[in-house]
Amino acid sequence: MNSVLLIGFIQATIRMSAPLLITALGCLLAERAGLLNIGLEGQMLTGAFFAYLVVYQGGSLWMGFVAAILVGALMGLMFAYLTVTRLTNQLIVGAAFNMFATGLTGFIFRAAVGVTGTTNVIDQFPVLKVPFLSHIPFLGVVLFQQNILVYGFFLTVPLVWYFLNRTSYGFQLRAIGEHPRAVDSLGIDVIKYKYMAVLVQGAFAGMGGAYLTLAYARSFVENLSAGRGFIALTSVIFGGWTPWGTLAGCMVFGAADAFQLRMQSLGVNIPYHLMLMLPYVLTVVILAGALKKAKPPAMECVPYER
Amino acid sequence: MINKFIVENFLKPIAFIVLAMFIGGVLIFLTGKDPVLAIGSLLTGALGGKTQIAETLVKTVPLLICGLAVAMAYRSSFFNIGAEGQFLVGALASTWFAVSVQWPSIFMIPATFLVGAIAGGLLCGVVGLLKIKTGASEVINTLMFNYIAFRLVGYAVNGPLKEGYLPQTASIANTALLPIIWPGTRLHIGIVLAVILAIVLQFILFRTVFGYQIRAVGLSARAATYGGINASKRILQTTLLSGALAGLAGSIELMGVTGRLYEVFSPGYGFDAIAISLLARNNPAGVIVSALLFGILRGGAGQMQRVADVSMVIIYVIQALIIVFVVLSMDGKKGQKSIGNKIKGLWGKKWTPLKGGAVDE
Repeated sequence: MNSVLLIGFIQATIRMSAPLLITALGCLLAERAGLLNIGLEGQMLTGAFFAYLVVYQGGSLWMGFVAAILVGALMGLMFAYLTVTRLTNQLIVGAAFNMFATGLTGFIFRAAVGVTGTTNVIDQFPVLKVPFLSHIPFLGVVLFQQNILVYGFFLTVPLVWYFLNRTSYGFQLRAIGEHPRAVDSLGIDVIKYKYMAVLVQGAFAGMGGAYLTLAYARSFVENLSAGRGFIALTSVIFGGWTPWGTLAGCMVFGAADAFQLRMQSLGVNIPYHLMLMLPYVLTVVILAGALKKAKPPAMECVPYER
Repeated sequence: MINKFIVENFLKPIAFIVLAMFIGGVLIFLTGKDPVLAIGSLLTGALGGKTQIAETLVKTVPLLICGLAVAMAYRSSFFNIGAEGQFLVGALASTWFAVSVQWPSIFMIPATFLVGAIAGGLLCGVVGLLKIKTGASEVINTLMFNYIAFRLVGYAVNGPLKEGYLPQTASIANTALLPIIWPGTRLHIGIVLAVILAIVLQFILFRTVFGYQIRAVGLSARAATYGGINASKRILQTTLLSGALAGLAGSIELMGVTGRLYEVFSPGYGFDAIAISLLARNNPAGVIVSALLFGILRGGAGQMQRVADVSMVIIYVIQALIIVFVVLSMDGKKGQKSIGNKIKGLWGKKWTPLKGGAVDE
């Protein structure tokens, strides 16, 4: 592989991993509070759709982005009500949310936009070259010639790390994932923390979805997210429930995605469908192998009742 | 006095469906379409005549068998959301078999069934094995296998099994086709098989030692283990059974309806099955009723899209609402008694609640 190809490949890896990353970071926060929302796939899809819809109807890109955040957070709120307040099963509710999102987005899309076509393509966030830094050979091109969302998403990694490891809120959040009763006995509002965690998780997943339409596909098709939410979830597991590990996981999956796109565009004679299978196979393999050493939050997916 | 059985198995499910459809109607209204026309065309599209009723029943067959697949797995606390993938590989394996050989019907039909059931069973069994051995969540794995199965079918119909110009396989052997039981329609013998399966599974689950042990493991693997039941073994057996059922559903759809495999072979029957099973509270006999109700939704959705210009994917919204209503109605106040929370712990060894119950102790 020559250097032009390599640069393109790494650039694409970063571009493809960005939406996974932000979604995964949100998922990480919620998981540390003992909540697993597999509905994040649906949140991404809904975020992607509403971001698209707002821009399609004449709104600015940032308005679309904010709409996606709000929609994602709203779905997070509903998830929190059902699972934290009403103590229902997180997996089933999450699965229902995914169905709901598929139906709702497809249904409104048909009513508001019609069918997918070239006329329905919207603007996207432009590449924003960082002054000075983007002139560094190789690294500059790879890291500092991306769109603004990519920078924002990657900078969230140290923020989440700092929050979890260096603030008392972060400590309390993690403690809730390990032993909610103990935290409760200290007079800390466990329920409020859980709600906040899922709200942030939903907002992040909404951002990840917005990225798909506003910085990647520029259009919407039914089921656009295509399992990326689940892949984000797996990145968290792959990363052993830590922010930097999650980053590594997202890069691996982003690379798999980028590799498959490269291979297709180069016309390498590998069957298209088998290539598309790669990230999913990788997920299964990682899930089987990674768990042996990783430590999930002890009270993950277990309802907490006062 | 109304029997509790009737309330739980008929009145509640119907009430949920009506409520969910009402909310769906409000959504339709909000997008400026006519909800009365939409729901009216949905019903006439599903039940308006001989052809429509037969088509609704044709769609009920895969829904019913996939619903049984999810229900059986759920009984051992295995949340199989991969019925879609198992359905697809079942159809794929059966296609491969039935385009390759041509035996007399009396051998051909059972053999094709068997091939599909084995393929589906293996796909789900692998996930069961991974869960037991590594603690990997079946929820993620069955989902991943859905995508893998979908791509595998795409590969097969564009590659090794492709026949002609379109991305589809050749027609399967005539001797593998299922007989039609309602002349003049497409209704095939599969509906009878599906209902028999439901009754047999109901019997197995509630009247045999095997069924008792499955339920015991599902309620509490810890208690079951103390009682001398090999929980891992039972879970693995249930996953094999569950996958085999979904795979068989794929074979039946192939042999009774399509006659060949193509890329979008399933409109999502395997996903519907989750809601169907929950609506029936994972009772095989109840699955008959809820599958029929979903068959009506599926059967009329196309007509609704044509007549009222409402996208048929709205039935997913309705299904999602039904699931939420069911889990809420099961809930009461105590979370750990809720239907869903029988699935405790996700990762590592925690699925065998040898380490403790739902709340920290």
